Order: sequence, then structure tokens, then C-alpha cells
Amino acid sequence: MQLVLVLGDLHIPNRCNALPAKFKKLLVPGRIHHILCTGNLCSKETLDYLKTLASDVHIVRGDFDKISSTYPEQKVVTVGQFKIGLVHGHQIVPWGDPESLASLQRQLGVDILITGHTHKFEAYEHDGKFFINPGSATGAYNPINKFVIPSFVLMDIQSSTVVTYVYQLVDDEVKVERIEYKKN
Amino acid sequence: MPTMSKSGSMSPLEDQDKLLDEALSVVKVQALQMKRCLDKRKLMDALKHASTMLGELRTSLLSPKSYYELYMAICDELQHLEMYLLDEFQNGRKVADLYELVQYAGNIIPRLYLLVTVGVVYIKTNEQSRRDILRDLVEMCRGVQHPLRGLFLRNYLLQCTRNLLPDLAENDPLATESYGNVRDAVDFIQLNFSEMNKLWVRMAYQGHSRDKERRERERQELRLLVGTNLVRLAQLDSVDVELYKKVVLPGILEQVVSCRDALAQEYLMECIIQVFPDEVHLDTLHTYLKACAELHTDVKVHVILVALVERLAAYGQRQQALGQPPIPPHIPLFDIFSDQIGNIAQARPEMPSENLVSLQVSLISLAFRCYPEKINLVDKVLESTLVALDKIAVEKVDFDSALGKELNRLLRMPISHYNSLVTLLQLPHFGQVLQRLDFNGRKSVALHLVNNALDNETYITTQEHVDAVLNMLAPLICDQPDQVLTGQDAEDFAEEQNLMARMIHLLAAEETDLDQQYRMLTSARKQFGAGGARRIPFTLPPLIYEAFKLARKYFDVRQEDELWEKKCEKIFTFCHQCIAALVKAELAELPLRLFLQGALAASQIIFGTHETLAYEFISQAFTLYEEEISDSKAQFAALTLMAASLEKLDCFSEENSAPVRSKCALLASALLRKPDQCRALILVSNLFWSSTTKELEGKPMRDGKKVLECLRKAGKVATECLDPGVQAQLIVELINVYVHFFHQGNQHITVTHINELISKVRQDLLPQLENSDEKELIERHLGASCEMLRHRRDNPSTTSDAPSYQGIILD
Repeated sequence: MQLVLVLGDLHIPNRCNALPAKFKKLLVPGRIHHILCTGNLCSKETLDYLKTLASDVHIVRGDFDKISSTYPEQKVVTVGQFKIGLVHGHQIVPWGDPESLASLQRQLGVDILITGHTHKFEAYEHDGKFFINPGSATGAYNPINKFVIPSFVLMDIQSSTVVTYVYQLVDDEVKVERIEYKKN
Repeated sequence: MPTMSKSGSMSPLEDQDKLLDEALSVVKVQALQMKRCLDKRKLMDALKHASTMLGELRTSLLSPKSYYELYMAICDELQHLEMYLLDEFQNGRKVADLYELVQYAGNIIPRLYLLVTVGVVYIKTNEQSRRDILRDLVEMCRGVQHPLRGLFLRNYLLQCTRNLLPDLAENDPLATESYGNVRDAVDFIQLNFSEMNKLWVRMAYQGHSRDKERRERERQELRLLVGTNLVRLAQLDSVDVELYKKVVLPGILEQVVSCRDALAQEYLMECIIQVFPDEVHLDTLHTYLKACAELHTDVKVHVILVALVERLAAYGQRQQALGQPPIPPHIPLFDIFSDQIGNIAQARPEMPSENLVSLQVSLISLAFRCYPEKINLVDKVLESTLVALDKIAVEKVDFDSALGKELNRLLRMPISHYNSLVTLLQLPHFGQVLQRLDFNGRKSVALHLVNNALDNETYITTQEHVDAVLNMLAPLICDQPDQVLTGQDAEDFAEEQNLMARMIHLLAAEETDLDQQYRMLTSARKQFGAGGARRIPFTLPPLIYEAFKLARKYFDVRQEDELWEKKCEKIFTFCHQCIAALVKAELAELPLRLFLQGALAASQIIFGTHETLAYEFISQAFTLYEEEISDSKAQFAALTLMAASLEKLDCFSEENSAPVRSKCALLASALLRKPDQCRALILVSNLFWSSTTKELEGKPMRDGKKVLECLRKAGKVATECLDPGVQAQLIVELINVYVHFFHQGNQHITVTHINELISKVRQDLLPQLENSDEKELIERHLGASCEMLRHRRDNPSTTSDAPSYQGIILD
């Protein structure tokens, strides 16, 4: 069993001051094996915080991460039996378009494609592949998305199954949903 | 074997060990003999051995530590003697004139130890008046005036009589003349205490002045001997508050004050606080504090007072937890201490100011714990501190100095206790004391404030508060006149500024008072602007985003505010001005992104001039791109965002939209690297397909012809890449893009286009590549794409206007 924390678009400090306290309480160091971050953290302190949660942290460049930063534009990571692609998503035009995302999935040859940028949680299957958007962990402002809810995702990967838990902060309560995906 | 130094003599330490060992072996031998004699019931002989054994305590050569060890060994052995005598008496075999018998011991030390032992036996067997015996014993001990020996002798007396004192109230029927009552017990202990203290003080004057330090140390080692008297007094159950007030405390204080010895006074005053109960301290404060004022100038009075205040504050807290009032209302505890501290400051003008401030610290602690609702008390303390600082007339207190550290402690206390900026602002003297610190001190307090506010999520809700708080945080906001401008680590600086940036999100007026929020943001903007080019890249973006949020809020409640459109305009102008300031500070990539965000934000809030504003924002972004962004990687990233943002902007008329679209296409073609050009053109193609204009009312443009034009251009550029691998990769991407538009119904794209591209890659490009990871990736990508096409071809959709994939050639 491998626990993978998937989150991004925190936008600290420009749009938010901190991760919601109720989320912070859930994220305890030592339980998570890998972190996949879609980018736009945007400060060193936030990166340091993620590094305290797990030793294997992968980040890709968001549109508000500096060009000069060392984060790659995209990354492919293998966890258990799954090849996972990680891209921020501002590079995919139109933003959030499922067809374009599917195109990228074919290009990277991955089983699971993780993108962010829209600040809207998504988790769906398409043509036998799995697509996840963890949303914004802080519920950061997005000019074209009026109803941003703080959210992040935890993937539990066991052999050929990944159980995805999405945590959302609705009316100051943490709500959890569960989605299963089997690799065929 | 002790080692011999060159001169043949031993070191003092080894000396002590040897002497102690020798004495202990005598004790062992004599004790054995004594016990043998007792077994044979030969009392006189036993007493002789005991006497010899006790003779070892006559030595002047042992250090207090060694003497203590010897003393303990002998006390152990004396127990045997006591038990034997007790046994004899209890079995009716009274030894006649035992008292007189032991007087025949030659020297005074053995004689007195034996007398005490016998006296204890008499008391335990009720032979004579308890009261009289105790009085005799405590008087007799005067016979030994040597400090060390006298202290231990009187300690022996105290230990032996531990449970034998007449601890009965005066009116208790059991308190007979012969038995005595608590007054007699008190007198006994107080006399013992006085004599012991005198001996203890006298130790300071024994020997050479060069040994002063060693003597002080040795005196400290013996302090418990003297202190035990006070413990005994506290253990007397029959001492009521009246007796304590009238007899016990005055007796102790008289001795403490009159001995005029700093070491003794410091220890004993603190001892009093520790051994007697808190309720009783509350009742005798005046007496105690009066004595404090009379202490020797070398005594650290502030340490004593801090200990007392601490104790009473803890007592107050416990009382509160039990549901009682913390301090009995008839005792104005705070005022008493406040006045007393003032007295001490006056009486001891040479006392270092940091000691005075540490007293203020303990006063604030008292206020928090015993008078939590009285915020004015805390401010009073701050005011007194200010007065004290005025007296020493120092301009700025050095952060590294002892005074600076104490002041820092003082200021942090209300911050950490109240966890509320609003409460802090109710302390008018807080800011004034803060200003007395030097730059480092003010910055340290400011950082503590910010961290506290962030950790507790304490929101600031009015413009006045914003101004006041930002004033206190001045060291973090702009360069200060007394600041040294060089030398700070860039990372540290960024960390500080990030803290300030986070803090900006705590500026939140009441949900319904949007105008207040606007005033707060503009007020903050003024202050942060003074931070200069170094700081505004951190502090302006959060303000801009708070402004975007505010504009949306005005839009959401537009029914309730008829001026909302003007206000939104003002907000966007504010944002524009902030972003322009960043440009002036020689930034490019950040303001470009902020302009794009502004355009998107404005497009979503439909008010009169929003299209003009959005257009202004987006053209500023394009201007920045052309004038300031020259790095290829940065250009591609920026152009991606510009095109992507434009695709989402739905508020432009065709008249405004068309030139921007063309510009995008032009800029795409003007990128330096061919692969970038190709990919940029692909991105731009979306602008003719899925974007919309005002005239189209949300329907996508669907200009298939223009899309194909872009894609053809992209293809042409791809073929101009010399590296077949790069070309192949680009064309596979292009295939997927063609299919994307084909699938969405672009009728200008045909199956032929797609076949051509597939054939180009398969037949022309791939064969040119050597086997490598790169080739594998391209083949896999192509393979996945063809899989998808095969599926669509062989499983045609049943909807009527779905494009047909018939004719796709995949093998």
C-alpha cells in the first residue's frame, strides 16, 4: 500500500495565508509515502512544509512559480503498477478541456494524469485512463471560477487498484468522498 | 595511594579525603566498642567510647562537605545509644542522674551532643518537663561558638526534637505547664534560628580576604541547615494566622534584617516565601515588603519580589480554577506591588534598569493571572516602564543588552497572552514602549506580533486598526532611519516579507461593510508602498488579489448598492495602479501575469466599463511582453498564458478581440525557436475555435478555416526543424491537434490531412531515427494516437453529425 498526497494551487502568500487548519490537522508526517504537487505553492516555506510530510516530493511548475525555478514543466512518476503524469495545466489550452487532457495522457503514456490550475476538483475515467485534478488546497481565488472549495486528494495505491479519497472543506466541515479506479 | 607532588605535600582535595577517612575509621572503631559495651550493659564505658567518637567532631580541618559526612556517620551511631537508653527507661531501669553522668565528658562538643541525646530520651519518656528540657538544650548550645561546629550541633538538636515540640494551642487542656504549648515551641525554634543565623553570618569573617569566594561557596552549601528552622516553624500546626502575624514573622524578619548580611538575607527572604502558605503571605504583605526595603544593598531584591509575585499569581490562578475569587477583594494586590516596586526603585537608584523591568514583567504576569479582565492594569505597567526608561534617559535601547532583552520579554507578554490584535491596540502605552527599542528590538517584537496574528487567525476589521497595526510593524514594512541597510540574508528577507504578505489576508472588514474593506486596502497600500522596490513584489500582489475578491463581492450584492459599478471601476483602477508600480520596480513576468488575471477578473464582473478595463489590462500585458520579456523560455511561457487567457475572455466585442488574436499569432511566429513557434501556433489556433465574443453571446467562434491556417503554419514550421526527432515529435502532437478539431466538427479538416501527417512520421521521419529512448517515446505516442483513431474508425458514433473516421490509414 502506497499513500500518495496530491495537492496544489495553494498560492501562499499571494492569494491565501495558510492551509486550512482542519486540513493541516489531517496531514500528519510519517503516513504519506509520496507527494505529487501540481504547482503554484508559491513560497519556500510551503515547500519546506510539504517536505516535512514525506521524503519523496514531486513538483511541477505552475504559472505563478518563477520561470527560474528548478521545477520541470511535466513529470512522470511510477508508483506501484501505475505510471502517473503530473502537469500544472495552465499549458493545456483550453484550460480544463477533457479532450486536450486526454491528448496529453496519450503523449505521456500514463495510466493516471494529474493536473491542476482550474481550482476545481475532478476525478473521472476516460477511455480506460484516470484523470485527477486535486483542486486548490487552500481554496485560492480564481478569476474565472466563482465557487472554489478547498480540496486535496489522497491516493491509496495497491497493486492494480487505486482508491482516491478527495477531502473537501464545505461550510467549515471536512467531507470525504471515495472513488475507485482499476487498471485494465 | 595519594600521589605526591614535587614538594612532597598533598593537594588540598586529597588532604580532605585522607582526613575524612581517618576520622571515619575512628568513628567505626569507637562505635563498635560502644555497641559492645551496651550489649554488656556497661553504660559508663559505652559513654566513654561515645565521647571519644564525638571528639572527632571537634576538628577544624574538615571542609563543610567532609564535616557533613562525618556528622551523618556519627548521628547514625548515636541512634543506637538513644535506643538503648529508651529501652532501659521503658523497662523501668531508670539510669540515675543520667544528665549528670554525661556532663563528665571532657570536651564541650561531646558533652553537648550527649546532653541533647539524653534530653531527647527524657522527653520521650516524660521524665521531666518537656518545656524545661527544650529550653535548657537550646540555651546550652551557646557553648559552642565556632560557626561550623555550632551549626551542626544545633542542627542535631533540631533534627532530634523534630516530632517532640509542644505543638498545642495555648488553651488546649493537654498543654500543661510542664508540657508547654505552641508559644514555647515557637520560642525554641526562633532562638535556635537566631543563633544559627549569627553563626552562619560569622563564617563570612573567618580567615583571609583572599578566600572570600571559597567561604561564600561554603556558606551556600550550609544554607539548608539554617533554613530548616523556618521549615520547622511552618510545620507547627497550632500556629494560627494571628500568631504568625504577631510573633513568628516579626521574629524571623527581625533577625534577617538586623544581621545585615546579603547572602543570608537573600536566602532567608526567599525561604519565607517558599515554606509558609500563600494565604498567610497575602495577610502579611506590608510587613514583608517593609522588610524588603530594609535589606542590604547587595541583595537582589527584584529576584525576591519576582518570586513572591509569581507565587501569589499562581495562588490566584488556582483559586480561580476552584471558582473562588483569585485574590480577596480587600487586598489590592496589584497596587501594593506596584507601589512597592516604585519604592524600591527610589530607594535603590543604582539598581540596573533591567532588574526593574523584570519586576514589571512579573507584575504583568500577576495582572494576567489574578485580574484577567482589567486590561488597564497592563497598560499601567507599561506606563510605569516608560517612566522608568525616561529616568535613565536612553534614546534607543540596544536589543542585545540585558535591558533590551527584558523589554522584549515585557512586550511579548501581552501579545502572547491576549492573542488578539484588537486587545493589544487598547493598550496605548504599548506602542510607546515599543518605540524605545532599537531597530532590532522593534523588528523582533513586530515578527512576534505577525506570527501570533497568523497562528491565531486574528482578523483586523477597521481602517483605524490597520493603520495602528501597520505602525507597530513599521520595521518590516519600510526602511527605518535607525536601520543598518546591509548584511541581511536574502532568504531571511524573503521569509519576513512573505510573513507580511500572508498577514495582508487578515485584513477583513465585516462581511457587510465592503466600503470599510476598500478603505482598509487603500490605507494598507499607502503604508506598503513606502517599502520600496525591494518589498512591493511581496506586499502588493496580496493587496491586488484582495481587491479582486472585493470587486466580486460588490458584484454579488449589486442589488443593494447603486454605486457598485463606480466602486468596481475604482477597485480595478487601484489594481492597475498597483501592477504599474511593480512594473516601475523593474519587474516584468509577475506584472504580466497580474494584468492577465485582472483582465479575466474584469471580464467576469459585468459593469459599464468592464470591457474597456479588461482591454486595458490585456494590452498592458502584451506591451510588457514586447518591451520587457526577451528570454526565450520566458517568452514561450508568457505567450502561452496570454493566448490561454484570451481564449477565456468573453467580454470583448469582435472589434477588440480580432486585433489581439492576430497579435497572438504574430508573436507566436516571431518566437526564436522553431519548436516553440510550432507549439505556440497550435495554442493560438484555439483562439479561432473555442473562444467567444460579445456578439456571439457565449457561442464559440468555430472559425474552422482560420484554425486550419494556423495548423498548416505550425506544420510548415515543424518541417523546418532539421532534427528529425524533434520534427517527428512535433508532428505527432500536430496529428492529435488535427484530430481534436476534426472530432469537434471542423469541416475544413479532413481525413486526408491526418493521413498525410501519419504517413510523414511513419514513412519519412521515424526511419531516419536511430533506436533510442527518444524514438521509443515518439513511437509510443504515435501508437497510442493510432489506437485511439482505430477505435473511432472501427466504432463509428451513432450521432448524426459526428465526423466519420472512415478512410483513416493506420498501417
